[in-house]
Amino acid sequence: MTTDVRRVARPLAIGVIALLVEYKLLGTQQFANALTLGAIYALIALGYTMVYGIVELINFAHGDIFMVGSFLAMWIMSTVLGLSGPVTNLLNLIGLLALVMFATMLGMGLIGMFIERFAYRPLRHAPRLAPLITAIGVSFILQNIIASLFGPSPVSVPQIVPLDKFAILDGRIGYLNVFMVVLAVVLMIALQLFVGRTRLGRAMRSTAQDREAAELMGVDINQTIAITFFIAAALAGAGGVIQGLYFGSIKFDLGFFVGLKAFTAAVLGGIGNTTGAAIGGFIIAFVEVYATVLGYTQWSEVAVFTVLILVLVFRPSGLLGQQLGERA
Amino acid sequence: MTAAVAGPTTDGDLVLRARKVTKAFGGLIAVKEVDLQIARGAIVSLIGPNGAGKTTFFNVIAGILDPTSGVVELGGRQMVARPVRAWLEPVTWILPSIVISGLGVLTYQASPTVGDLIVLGGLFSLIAMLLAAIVRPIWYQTMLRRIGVFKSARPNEMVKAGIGRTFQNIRLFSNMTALENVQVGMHLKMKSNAADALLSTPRARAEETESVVRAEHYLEIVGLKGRGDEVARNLPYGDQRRLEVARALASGPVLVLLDEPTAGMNPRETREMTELISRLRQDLGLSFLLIEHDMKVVMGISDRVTVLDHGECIAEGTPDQVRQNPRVIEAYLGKPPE
Amino acid sequence: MTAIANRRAPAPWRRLRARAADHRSVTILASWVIVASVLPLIVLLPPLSTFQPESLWIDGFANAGVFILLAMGLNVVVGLAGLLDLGYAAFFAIGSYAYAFGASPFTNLQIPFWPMLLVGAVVAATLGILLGAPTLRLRGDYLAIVTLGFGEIVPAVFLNASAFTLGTNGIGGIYKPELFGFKFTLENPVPYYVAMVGILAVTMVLLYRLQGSRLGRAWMAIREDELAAASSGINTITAKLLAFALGASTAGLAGVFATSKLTFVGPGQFGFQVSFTVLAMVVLGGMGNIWGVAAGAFVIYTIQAVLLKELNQFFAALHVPILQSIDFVQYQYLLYGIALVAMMLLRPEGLFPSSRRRRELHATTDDVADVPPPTEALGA
Repeated sequence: MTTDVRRVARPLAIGVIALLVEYKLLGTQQFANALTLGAIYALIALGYTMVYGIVELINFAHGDIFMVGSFLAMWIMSTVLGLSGPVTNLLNLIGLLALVMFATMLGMGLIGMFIERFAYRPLRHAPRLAPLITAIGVSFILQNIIASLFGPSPVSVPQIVPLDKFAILDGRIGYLNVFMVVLAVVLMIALQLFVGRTRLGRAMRSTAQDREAAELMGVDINQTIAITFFIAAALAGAGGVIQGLYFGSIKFDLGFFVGLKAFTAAVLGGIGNTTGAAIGGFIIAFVEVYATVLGYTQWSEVAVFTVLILVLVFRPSGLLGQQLGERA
Repeated sequence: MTAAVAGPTTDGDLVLRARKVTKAFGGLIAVKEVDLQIARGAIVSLIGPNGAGKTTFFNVIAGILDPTSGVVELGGRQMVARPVRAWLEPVTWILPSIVISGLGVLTYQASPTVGDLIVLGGLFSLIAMLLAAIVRPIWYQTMLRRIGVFKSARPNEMVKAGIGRTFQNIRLFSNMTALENVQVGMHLKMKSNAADALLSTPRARAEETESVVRAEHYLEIVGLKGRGDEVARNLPYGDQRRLEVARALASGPVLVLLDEPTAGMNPRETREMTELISRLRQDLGLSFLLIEHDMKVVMGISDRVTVLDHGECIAEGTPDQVRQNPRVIEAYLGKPPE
Repeated sequence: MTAIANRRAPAPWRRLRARAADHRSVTILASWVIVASVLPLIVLLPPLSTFQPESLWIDGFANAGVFILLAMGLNVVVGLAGLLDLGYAAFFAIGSYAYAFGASPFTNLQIPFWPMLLVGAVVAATLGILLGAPTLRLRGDYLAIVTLGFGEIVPAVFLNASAFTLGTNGIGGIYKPELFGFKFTLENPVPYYVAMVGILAVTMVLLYRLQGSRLGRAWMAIREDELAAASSGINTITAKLLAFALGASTAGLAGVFATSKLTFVGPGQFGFQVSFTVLAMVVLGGMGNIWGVAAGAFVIYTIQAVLLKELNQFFAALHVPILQSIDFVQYQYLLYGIALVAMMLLRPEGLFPSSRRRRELHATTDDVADVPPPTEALGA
């Protein structure tokens, strides 16, 4: 019981402290920006962490799956639904967003499962180097497919959410920010419930702990891993939707740096730990926004990378240690 | 088992001495306060039911796992224990360079050139310290000791200190030849460095030729004479076990740790392995620590036997003493033997 | 066994290979001399001679040499030591900028080319150690992502620290090499070609010596089983760091050469595409096989620099319906990506595999006592 309390209290405490510090340093407006960015990173970081927890593979293609997700969402909105400007009817807007979100997540989940089935599964027992190199290859394939379909220059995304803002405390924040953050948090809570409460979630956790034992106990390993990739890719797809709506334009190589930052977030939170990944995402976003506030925009990537190296050197297990992928 | 009054003089003939070694994984205590002593030239066996913590204990001794508490000494030198003030080590890498660079920044006002040079020196001190942390030369280890940092020896340092080992599931370099496997074991005994290799100096070439001769000698000792060119993966199971022993011998150990050396062997291979161990002790004066399930092997060649159960040492003594110990009979065998 | 060996190769060929194994350095140098003198003749033959004039071919070969050098260096890290380095272009960049700082009007320095080769290598190796030291004790995939980040950060630093590097504009007017008063020029690619072949031959000799040494064996052992290697007494971190430093220094060498030839350096030349291309070269050539990797690099570079363009013109000239509108140059990275995945799934040992090669050389040497391997003795 006490360990249960600790498991909840510690990340909660770290999260609250981090948020308070962020708010103090950034002010309302930038804080809202950092939170939105953090939501994107967190959603992607979750995918890194889940996949790593279960197959011990850093899925280099994950950032690009996120990128493909943003393009899929863009395509659904502009070509399939024919949207181009803000939708002012609130009910319509919510319906449309739900539809875009659902379709993108479903599509990306299937793509994720497809990649796992054909690129990673055959190499599950190969030397470590092989799946890593394959992942790099997949990453390049995805980038170049998108580049050839949509062109190498930035593509604009229909801004279907009105850019209205409301005043709060000492600043003004957009409804969009609120919506994004709420959505991300809902998805994360749903994921926690899924992993913690359902039969499939249990299968995932037991596979992460000890694949052979899980197999002996009747867990279908292939199915479990496929579902993990599905969820990871679907979350990245959700991140892609947010990215497109929030920044208004997307590019074929956007997955590279965003992926790197999200991976840093996953490591910072403790790879294999889903709560940690979420917290890490918000911290990394904070570092980046803070660098921008201080006027060092072009160094923000260097700063994030430095964070990655420092964490790896001084605390490779991350802020919250390992919960999912504990193995001697 | 171990008297508390152990002074350095009484350790003279001890090869290895483990005191109150405990290893916990989270809440699970795999090994609890186990003591073990191995005298020079002795064969000691570690037995116990599955999951008794034998391999964990082995890995602590081999420097692979840090113990939760307790100490392992090799020839009277503390090699393995819980790390003390490990966080100080990275500080020693960074601090000098920060101090030097700070000096450089201060002098920059007076003379930019000198300031730049000093900052550059700070950078080099960082590189030097990082390199030292990797190579761990004597002065670096002394410095760590001075500031109260203790870190357990790494596996390769345990080998240097005189421990050779084999693994429960054979871990040969399976795509290398038998000869190359043994040559890898001789790595420590060879002196030529990267520069020698690049220039192909006579010293490097002579050493390489000599290493082949010596590797063949080790193969002959374990009974694999003339099989050096075979790829390790293609060797029969029993030969792979023997090749692993040869690789362990090649590092010139005083103590050899054998993790289930006869597992999966047929009676003839088992007998040969037992004879090999006895012969190695006689001819080379080696000491052995065995994990073994085959009671015939254990009782046949051991001088002392230690029995673990649920991570705790429940008996220690000569094979005869252990055999008659009621706790062992109860815990280990579950029911009295006929 | 003799019968088996005879079936494998005819006797004179076998003897030649045995002699070649005994004098490997000489063999490598001789091979390079032969390759270097035959290549300029081959491009005079019909299909190739129509693509571009010979001087362009030779210029291209000198450029290909840069990639061969890069591939051989990355092969030390990935192929020999089994460490995945995804930011290898960073060391290429460091070598390039080192030469730009050492020999350009920008810094007012004019250090000669040949010592700068060494300087570039040493600077790159130092930075390789700096990066590797904190990260090499981590698991392999962490190293991969850290190097990936490093590969992006180094060009970013060169881009943003514009006070020292002129930022996007890059540093131009870099001095060309000179040998005993003979000046290299842009008009004549032959001196570059000859110099490149010399550098390649020497590098390859050194790499083969390393591979066959105690260190090479340690790398092989680490690649196969790191724990067992450490338990055999190998200081795995030192060995890995040496691999990292040697790989980086080769890239530094390549950077110095490339910059001296291009006489310009800018941060845009060192994107992830470069690291990725070199990795594809190593994987396709056959990780761990030095000759194979060199061949892989040569083939890929030639395809990328010449044949893809020719393919475009070819289909355009014939007005093939769909193919004529495809720009193959644009798809090269897609092709590399597919090639990487396909190689890993179907033929992970590469097009020119290495693992057996040395062993077979051993087995076919005449004077080694032939003992039948058990599998063959048992008829299995």
